[in-house]
Amino acid sequence: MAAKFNKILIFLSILFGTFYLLLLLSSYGTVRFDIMEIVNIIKGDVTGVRATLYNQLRLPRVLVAFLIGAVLAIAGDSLQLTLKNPLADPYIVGISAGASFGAVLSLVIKEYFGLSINMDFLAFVFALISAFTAYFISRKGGRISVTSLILSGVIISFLFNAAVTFLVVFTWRNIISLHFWSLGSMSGVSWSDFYKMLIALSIESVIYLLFRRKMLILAAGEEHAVTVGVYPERVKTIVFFNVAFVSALCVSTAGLIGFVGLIIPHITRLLFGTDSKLNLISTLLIGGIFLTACDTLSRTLFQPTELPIGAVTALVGAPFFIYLLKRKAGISNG
Amino acid sequence: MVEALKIKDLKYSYGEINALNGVNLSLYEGEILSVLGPNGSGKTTLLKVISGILHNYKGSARLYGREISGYSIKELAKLVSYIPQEFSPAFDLKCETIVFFGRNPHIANFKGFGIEDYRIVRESMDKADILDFKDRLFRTLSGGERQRVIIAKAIAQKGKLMLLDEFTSHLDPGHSQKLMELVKTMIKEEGITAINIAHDVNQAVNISDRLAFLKDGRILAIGNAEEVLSESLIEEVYEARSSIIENPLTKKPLVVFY
Repeated sequence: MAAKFNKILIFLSILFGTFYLLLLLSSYGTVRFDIMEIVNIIKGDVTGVRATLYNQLRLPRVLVAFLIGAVLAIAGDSLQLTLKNPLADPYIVGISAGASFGAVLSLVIKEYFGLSINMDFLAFVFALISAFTAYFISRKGGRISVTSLILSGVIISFLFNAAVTFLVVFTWRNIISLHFWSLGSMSGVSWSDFYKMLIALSIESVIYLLFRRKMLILAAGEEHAVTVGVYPERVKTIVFFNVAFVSALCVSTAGLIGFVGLIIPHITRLLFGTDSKLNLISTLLIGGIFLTACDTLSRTLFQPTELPIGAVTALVGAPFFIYLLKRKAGISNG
Repeated sequence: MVEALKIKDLKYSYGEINALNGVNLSLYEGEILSVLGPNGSGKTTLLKVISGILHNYKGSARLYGREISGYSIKELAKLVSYIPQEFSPAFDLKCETIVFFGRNPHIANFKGFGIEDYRIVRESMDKADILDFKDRLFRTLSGGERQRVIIAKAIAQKGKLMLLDEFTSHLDPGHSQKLMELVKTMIKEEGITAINIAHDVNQAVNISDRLAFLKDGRILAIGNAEEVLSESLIEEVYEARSSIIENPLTKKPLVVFY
């Protein structure tokens, strides 16, 4: 009972802490705001240049970072459970690199052939291709070992990243925009990106909730899943589509951002357990606030120059990845 | 006697390797059949075909008159519960969550558990004597306790046929015996039919109604212990010397290897 009460207390702290941190983090940047000023801007009591700056640039940026963080964290959790792999994440499995290639390809096609193919759509198609390729490369004898999935992801990422470099240099003859596609950035996001990501998060969360029980069953093994009436291939296909869909939208909005989907589900499990009903919301909130904090660092650390956000997440994520890889439990099912 | 399972000329191969080479057997409702045989004889493959894990089999395997491949896996999971040698979730799960997995075949898609499911899960945990650690993490339990959780899951599944795959092989003789007794009592109380894969011939004799000996994917002998057990059969199956005497306590055959 006390443990349950503690968990609820932690959950409420995360919930209210998220709102406060969002306000606080949105105050940092080249232009500084104080909390009371932000409250007044949001209430509509203050107008003028600073209010416009906050409403049209800072606020959408902070909220989009939050939504992308949330979406990636849930995607990571879904992949880890479904593939029974504690190291799975859209970036590590190569899904994000595929999406990045699709997005750049849509730009190249437009530039060279004048054909307009929706960037999100093409990113989605290539995200799906990389998801299934990584899956089939790493599957041997009906099993996917932890390490072979990671290796397949690395190879697919290499391949698509090289293809992106090729396309970018070939088309624009410069490598400046490569930064965006390889390390991500939140600069230039708008309210339309916010609505797009909000829809992505809603769809992803509904699918997560509908398939939560089946994903947990799959986390105990595919053969086990069959014996309790779950078709592993169906669940995996739906999860891959879901993850590819949200990853594509994330990549076409903010470029490649890694490790969020790897780290956050582990933190949530540590706080609430793998099978807690609070997991979806807390993964969403912690993922969101984590990426918002990373974005705040990326725009303030060397201001006015921006650090690519993917570099910040990788600085935190890579050591965490090594920790998980070294931990016995992390590779026990390999 | 109602025939629960009828297998005729069942064949299964993993690529070039033939695991089952024409198995024939019948299983009657309420009986416990132990399947014995050396490693690689096809015992686990047989269970995997019956439970729907392996589906591209040849020949016929009819469960309650209907071909197993004709069942959806959800329909099959309502009839068949499977207790594997080892159960290893990749993440820490509470014991209660694992027992609830057993209710999955009975839940409509996208629906949650109902009051009846909660009652059945509680009752199953009580029968397997795991109520005290329902909130504990599976990883923190001993081997015997873990298997009791899996048994509770299988009971909650309410299947008519229970498949036990060497589920006591990791346990010491004391725990193994207690668990076997628990399962036997439950199977008989609930009127469940069971196929038990075993390595210990004498334990199989004690808990089963009939024994089947499998080698190279074929059944060499099937029947009750008194009928089928012989030194020559043990020699043929295990390539081991033995002597069969009467167990002074149970009066059943006792195989002594030497």
